[in-house]
Amino acid sequence: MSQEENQEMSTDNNMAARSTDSSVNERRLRPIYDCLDNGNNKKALQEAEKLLKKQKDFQCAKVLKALALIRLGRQDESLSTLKEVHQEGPTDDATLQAMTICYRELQKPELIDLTFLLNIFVQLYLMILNLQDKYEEALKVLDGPLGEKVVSHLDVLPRKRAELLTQLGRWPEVNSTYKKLIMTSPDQWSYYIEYFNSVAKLVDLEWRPDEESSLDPPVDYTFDMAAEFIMTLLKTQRDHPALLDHFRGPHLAKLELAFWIQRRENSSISPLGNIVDLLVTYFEKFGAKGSCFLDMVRVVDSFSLTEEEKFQVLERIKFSLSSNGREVKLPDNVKEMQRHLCYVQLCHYFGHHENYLEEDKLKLAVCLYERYTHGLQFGKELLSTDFKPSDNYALLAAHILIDMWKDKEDEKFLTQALVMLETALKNSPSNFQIKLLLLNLYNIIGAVGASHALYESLDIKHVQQETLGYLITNHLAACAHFSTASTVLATALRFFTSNFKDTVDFLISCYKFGSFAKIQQIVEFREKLNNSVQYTSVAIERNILDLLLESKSHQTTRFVIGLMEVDPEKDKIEWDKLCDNRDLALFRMWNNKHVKAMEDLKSVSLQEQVKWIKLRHLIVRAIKAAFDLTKTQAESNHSEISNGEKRGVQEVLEELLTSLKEYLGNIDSKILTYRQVPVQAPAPTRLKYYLQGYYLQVLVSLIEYILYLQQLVEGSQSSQAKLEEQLKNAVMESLQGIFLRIQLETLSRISEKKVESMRKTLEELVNAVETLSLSMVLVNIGHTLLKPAKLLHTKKGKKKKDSCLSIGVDTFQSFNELVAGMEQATLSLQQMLQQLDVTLVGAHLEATALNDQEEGQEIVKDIREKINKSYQVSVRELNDILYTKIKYIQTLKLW
Amino acid sequence: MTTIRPFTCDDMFRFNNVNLDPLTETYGLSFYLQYLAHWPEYFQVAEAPNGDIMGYIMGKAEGPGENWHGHVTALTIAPEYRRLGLAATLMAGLEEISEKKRAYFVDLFVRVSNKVAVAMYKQLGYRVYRRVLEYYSGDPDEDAFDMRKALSRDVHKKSVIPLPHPVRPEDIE
Repeated sequence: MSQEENQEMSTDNNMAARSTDSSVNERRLRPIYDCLDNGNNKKALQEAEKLLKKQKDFQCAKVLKALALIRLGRQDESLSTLKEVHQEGPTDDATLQAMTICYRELQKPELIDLTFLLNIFVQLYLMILNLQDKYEEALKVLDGPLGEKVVSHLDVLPRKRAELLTQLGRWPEVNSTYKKLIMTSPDQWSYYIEYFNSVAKLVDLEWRPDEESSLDPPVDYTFDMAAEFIMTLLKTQRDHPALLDHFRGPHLAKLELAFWIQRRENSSISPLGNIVDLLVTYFEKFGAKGSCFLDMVRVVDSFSLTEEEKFQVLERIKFSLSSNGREVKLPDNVKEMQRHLCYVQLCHYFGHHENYLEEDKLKLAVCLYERYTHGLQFGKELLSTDFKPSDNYALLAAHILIDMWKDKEDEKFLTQALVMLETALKNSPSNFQIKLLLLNLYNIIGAVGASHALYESLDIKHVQQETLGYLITNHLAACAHFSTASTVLATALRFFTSNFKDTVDFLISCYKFGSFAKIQQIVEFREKLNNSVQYTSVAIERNILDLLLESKSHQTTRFVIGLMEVDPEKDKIEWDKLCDNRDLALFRMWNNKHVKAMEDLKSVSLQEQVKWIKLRHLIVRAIKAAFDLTKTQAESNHSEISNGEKRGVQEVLEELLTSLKEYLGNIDSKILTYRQVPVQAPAPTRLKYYLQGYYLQVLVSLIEYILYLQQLVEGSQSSQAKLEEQLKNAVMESLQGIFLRIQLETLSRISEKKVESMRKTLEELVNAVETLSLSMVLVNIGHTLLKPAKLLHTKKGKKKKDSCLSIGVDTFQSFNELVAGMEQATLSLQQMLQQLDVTLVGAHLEATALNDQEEGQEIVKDIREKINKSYQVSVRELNDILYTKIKYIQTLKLW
Repeated sequence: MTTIRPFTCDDMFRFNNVNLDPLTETYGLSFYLQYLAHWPEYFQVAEAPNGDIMGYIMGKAEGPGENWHGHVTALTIAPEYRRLGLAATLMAGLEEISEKKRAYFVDLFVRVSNKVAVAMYKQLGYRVYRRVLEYYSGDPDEDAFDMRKALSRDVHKKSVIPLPHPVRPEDIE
């Protein structure tokens, strides 16, 4: 085995379906299958012959030709073809299956390839027995003559037996079976766990062998015996180093067993030695492997190590790294470096530096970064697609600085972390851990242009939309990168909507190839994608974004709403079935507390996300319901039948209004949100600022206003000047509230020159612009409701008695005032935005003492430009939207 | 150490640690599902004690007559879990299955620039059977080595006699 395995050691090119590819073959066979299925046997024969002209050795095509011949009554010809194929000894499943059908139709079942059929039959039989919990019978099948028919590879058969024995609680046999499996596969972790578990059961049962007991290898029924077994394995490994030296199996098993014994006996003394010794020994053997730190912390997590023991572990490892037991010198080779790196990762994990003074923390970060730079020499020979071996030093240094930034709220630490990470990324352009961390940091400061570029460079696609898409989808529109958001959401939606179609074909394939065990898996997988939180979020946000970007006039608004696949009446989302598949385990983190915090934040952030999308969904449904009011209005001009339906829509809107108000009622109580520490945790949603900032109030007031207008229009109420004034003022006051907030709190914050608060600033501006946009949609609906009445008034058509005539001129006047107020509000917001100089915000990012070289200055400049550019795009896109919305609102006055 | 077990659909939710590496392609769902449905035994994953996916191998069996062989479609190991002999273990498994299926040989494609991988395969008994010109699309396109190892059914090792000239991708039969 060579020093550095490359990540991807083998792969077909992207167009995986070369001519040899079976999927291509399957496609070519498809027409023949189709003809046979339709009973068009003549055509099937022609198709098969056509294919065989191109590929004369295509076995499956030959057999299908034979099948067509049988069905055409030309049995002799068919038999000779079949004989030919039979002699070739076909092995692929499709051919065998087709042959089976031929023989059945020729009524020569004796020729059917029994191996294939029996294998499938036994598989199915075992599955059914398993489903019925008939483990005893299943075991009998495996141990009987049928068992021989199961094609066994990679321990499938003995593994299956062992699983059945476990189900049956036959612990002595379980123990012996896994022991035997461990001896043949000493690196298979799951075998050890099952083996230890069986030992524990036997100890509990105080099991002792009787005289006839003849299991081979013999049963280990005490932990001492288990310890001896592991020690024997280690000895075997020592005797055959060439063969087994790289296997961590028996070594890790020793640690694991020590833990089992500790947990049972409540003492750290075991026949295997104390835990500190064991950990240090493990480090000495595997310290230079990249996985050593991960192996060790998993064990450390299971044991409850005392502070004293942790200290001892670190001290003794440090001692083994340095000749004099003091400072560890810079390494001479990559292995030495990796052992040191493992040590510092452990220090970090134990929180070694947490109580340091600020200056000492800084010193530590600088020291780690120096080691990073020094270690670059060990990666010179590597391809650009490899991680550099010293990358983790830079990541650790950045983590320390990020913690300091969060603690002290001083952005100089953030700048330093960004510089280190950007430098490390330049040196190691495929290190995705560096990219992910940077991406999160840029998201936090609202520089989503920079995070989107990183997202793109990670080439996230297909199923990764589900697991990693959240890294960007929740941020782009929140920070006003609307056009990018639109593209990203569209791509994500394409993946989710094609899922159903993609999976169904393979369910059929599973039956065809006898892969029954995979069927349930595929079905469940498909459901998880269908009920995905990410899918639901993306679909709802897409609706709102469309309204924001596309609703520019009465026509375009009608068009956009018409396309929305939302049912105002019924909430079709099964909220309690939502699945969260965000991959949060991907981030490599070292601080133990942060790792634990992530586990909690996963569910906390999910709750908030669900609360947020529920609100967004209500808003979308309310807009659609309000829009439907105008639809039925138009229809009711034609017929009177729709009266019932109209009332229905109104009730629906009233209901939705009540639900929206519930959100408003919760503002003052604790709004679900959390601190995003560690920075790798999912970011909080927009919910908090959205509810605090009167945004929802504007929409709620407008919906109330529209419901009132609807009542006027249908004549169930006549104009009431006082009520009208109240409703209008409610809208205007909420708008005013937004303004004051933006002016006094949000925009003044720019002068603080903090990048982190820029995120909040952008979110508030987005909320304001979005609220104005959605408001205009609602005003447009009001306009549509009032317009017929207004027309009647203008024509002075006082002859006919019409319910519309109960609407007074004051109502139109009042509506126009509302429109004018909204226009004014939009104009003022635009003016504010035009005066905004966002480049001020990033200006304070300066290189500091940590990065004294010129390169550091260069990188800071790049970072500053990147951030500023992103902010500028945000402001420009906000302005662009306001520009179209001003034109839009001007068309909504009643003339 | 490692647990080697069959790849499941849900592993696709967790394989980012492996797939985010630039040389590992993330295929469309249908690609993985096709392998799971058709050659489930050929799709194995290596899992670490902490639950991380360390790497996986994807393969299949195909080819008429004496060309009936096991094929390695993808073999990949996450950066942190390299140099543990995992690739060799996964390859040994694929060869074992191919033997059981009475295949004549196992083959795979590898980037010619990937010296480390080529060396590893040589150590595992693979030989360069032929060079495939511009097999990998990219900027620029890159050639592949088609490497093979004869299995016991190919008694005279006919399948691994190297071709004298490189071939074009469209000429791979």
